[in-house]
Amino acid sequence: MTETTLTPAAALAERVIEATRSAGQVDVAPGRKAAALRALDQLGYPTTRDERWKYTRVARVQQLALGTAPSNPAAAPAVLPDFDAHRFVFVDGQFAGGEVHNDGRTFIGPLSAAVSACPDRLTSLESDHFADNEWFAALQAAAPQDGGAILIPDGVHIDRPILLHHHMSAGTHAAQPQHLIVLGKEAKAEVIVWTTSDADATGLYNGAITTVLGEHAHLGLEIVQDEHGTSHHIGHHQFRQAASSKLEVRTATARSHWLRNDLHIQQGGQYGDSTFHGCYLPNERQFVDHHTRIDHAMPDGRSDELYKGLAADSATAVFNGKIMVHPDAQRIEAYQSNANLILGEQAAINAKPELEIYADDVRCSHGCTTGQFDGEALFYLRSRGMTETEARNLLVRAFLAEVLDGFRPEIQAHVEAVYAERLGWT
Amino acid sequence: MSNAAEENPLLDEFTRKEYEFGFTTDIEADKAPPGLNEDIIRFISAKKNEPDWMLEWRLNAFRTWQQMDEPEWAHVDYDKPDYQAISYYSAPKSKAPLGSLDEVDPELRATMDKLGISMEEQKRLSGVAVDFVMDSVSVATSFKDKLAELGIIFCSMSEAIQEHPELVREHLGTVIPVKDNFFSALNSAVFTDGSFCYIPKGVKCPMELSTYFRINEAGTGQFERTLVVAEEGSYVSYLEGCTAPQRDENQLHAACVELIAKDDAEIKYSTVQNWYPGDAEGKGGVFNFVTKRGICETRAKISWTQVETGSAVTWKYPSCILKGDGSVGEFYSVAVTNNAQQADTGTKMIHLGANTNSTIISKGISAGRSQNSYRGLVQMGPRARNARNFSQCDSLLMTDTSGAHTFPYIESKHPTAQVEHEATTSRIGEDQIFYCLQRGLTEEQAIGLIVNGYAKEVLNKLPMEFAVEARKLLTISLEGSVG
Repeated sequence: MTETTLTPAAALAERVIEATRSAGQVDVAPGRKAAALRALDQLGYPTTRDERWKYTRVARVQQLALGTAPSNPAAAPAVLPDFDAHRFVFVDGQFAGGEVHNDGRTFIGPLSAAVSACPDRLTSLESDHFADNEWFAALQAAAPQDGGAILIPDGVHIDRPILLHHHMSAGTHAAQPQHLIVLGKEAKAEVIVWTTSDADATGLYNGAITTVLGEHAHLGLEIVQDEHGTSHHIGHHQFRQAASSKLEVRTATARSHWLRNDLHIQQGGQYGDSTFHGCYLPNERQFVDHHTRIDHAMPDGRSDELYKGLAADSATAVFNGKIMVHPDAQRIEAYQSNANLILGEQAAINAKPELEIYADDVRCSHGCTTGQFDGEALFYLRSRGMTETEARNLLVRAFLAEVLDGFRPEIQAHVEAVYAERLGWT
Repeated sequence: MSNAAEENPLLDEFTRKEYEFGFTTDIEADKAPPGLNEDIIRFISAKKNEPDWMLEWRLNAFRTWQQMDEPEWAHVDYDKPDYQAISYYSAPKSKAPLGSLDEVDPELRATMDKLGISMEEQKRLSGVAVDFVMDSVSVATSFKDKLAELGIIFCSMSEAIQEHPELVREHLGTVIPVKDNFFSALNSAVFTDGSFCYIPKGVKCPMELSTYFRINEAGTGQFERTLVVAEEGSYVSYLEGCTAPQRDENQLHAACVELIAKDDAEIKYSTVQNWYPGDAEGKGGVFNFVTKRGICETRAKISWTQVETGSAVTWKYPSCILKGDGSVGEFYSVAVTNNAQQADTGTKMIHLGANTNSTIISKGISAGRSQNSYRGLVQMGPRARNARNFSQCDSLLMTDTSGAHTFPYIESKHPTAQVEHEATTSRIGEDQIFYCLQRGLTEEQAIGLIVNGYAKEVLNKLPMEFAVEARKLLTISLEGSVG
């Protein structure tokens, strides 16, 4: 027998699966896990020759010397301490605190607890578009770690927001949290998914949010990414919507070193309504990549997409949005807008707003702009007595306001404060 | 599909409408045996009596091509051609060198007349100089002497290789390198003819230059190569038209067009592409895999205008490299697909220099069960200070079985560069048609009016003679195709 050498990608997969085995790996969706292991073998590691990874270099992720997460990590910093919410904290993919709510119908708690309390209600994890097609999603599905499980039965409204906070501790290790949100018919919830990392975190965050909305359900989801470390962050956010359900997802990439978000919405029923907004502001040598896709598979749906961002210094921002209207999905109204400002001489923006339309009675449009500050607006503000910095800051805020205004005020204030701190605003 | 046809007799009528230019011409042809190898390339080169450097260039291209894979990223689906089953050389058998148009083979003359390029007439009335390329070989060029007085060279590529080798050698392959892509490498290896045009410094070409391409023989492909060089401060407007007979097989057309606009020069390049699109079932038709690119030096301008109505599969991205400061690139396109046609077309605007400016207007119209994609790249390089781009890509859907897709790529590396892109997709408005009907127009006229209005921005950019033809083509292509 000769010893076979693993490809760097296979070695990475093995390291991650092995390292998470002893730390918070959740035994859920066995079918998906088996399929994901097969997919890992079959799917090649993404390169810039792959259309979906054209602007995203993940070669260096393979070089990360990922080890096992520390057994006693420092506590996660508190986020929005004065904000009233059902809170659950996860550190490095392991449950680290929060009060489980389980009345036999509604379950709000960690996925690991849901596995023993109500395993039959976790089957929606089995179907996973990403894990079948994307190498990193397959890796996550092959070794999912603990995350929030929010299972709301038909007709139940949860008034208190639910905050799922994941923290990466210092060191070079992988975290693959799995959040699951299932809303029954006419159920309603507001969820915040917050990620942070220690300044010395240098590993890989490869997490997933899986969401299933029943008929007439309504989900408000706010995603805040505020990571101090230099870890790589890959997020797989998928949403399946039944008829007449309403989804609002807002993503604020407040601070990150290298980040890629894949967001995928499937409108599987008539009269689906999806709003997805996002903002980003990488600086220095940071990299932020938002990939979105909405599938209008059924008629009479509506979608509204708005992503705005700035790239400062030598940062690179990527936006790739795809609207897909399937055959016979008539009377769709889909709007997509992406606006970018370049603030740094070395900064770059790569945008690809796509429309793929197979039905004729539709109204779809997209707009995409890339540019710099309006010189006249700057001059106007300066002539009113503002310094150049003040004027610029005001314009940045104004530019992002359209997206940030959609967040709850506490989050809006936090994200603005982070942007202000990073760009040296006063 | 059948439902739609029952509901709308006009649609049915149109889907059965025959391709007007589907005749074949019975002219004896010199044809190479099918297959592609170094011997065939030597054969082509020998047939054309080419110098050694040209043969070497071709062989090098062939070796490069062998290492390459056929691209699969485009949003089209077809059975890849068998490159060994194609004959790479077919020429109408020439008798003696032609002294004037009157000596052209009468059959060929009849072909041209059918195509509506009555050379005589054009010569006298519109003053358009025409180069006519049948299968692989240029058969007639009109108005040569008059152009020569101004120092303009307008001739077939094979003639240019013989008579102006220094000009060809200096420019050929400088805009589209041999290994640029699979089809350009293939073309570089086997191209048999095409047009060559050289405008000397400061000369404004007084007439439109025009080339008509036609694939005639069965089992052949057409691989023409066009090179337009506009020296400093010169101007030329160039027109290109193409047709092919109706055949059950898929014929391959893999052309390369290179434009070189030196300082302050301007080239306007217009195409009306009407290759045979295949029948209603999608059988037959031309595979149109074309590489077109121009390079602009300081303050130069290149403008591409295209009306794409034919071909079974189109893969075409006329592009501009805006190398010089202050240069301008334009792309105006109307792409119509019907029945089983597939088009993946668009442009690339590569802004390298400062103060460069580009405009993209693309109008897609999809009918039948066709798929029509716009794919474009706007790239602002790190030196592209104050560069500007505006892109607008609209799609009009005529039936619920057709598809319209937009894949724009925007890459900006300069803070002062501005890129604007907007795209819309919608159906032809029932209320608009109703309004027209109410005013006494027939449904066909209404659609013709709406579509022509929709595409007006692009059609207006075409030279007069072409605009008339293009309008006619659009109307014919879409009559009664509302589903």
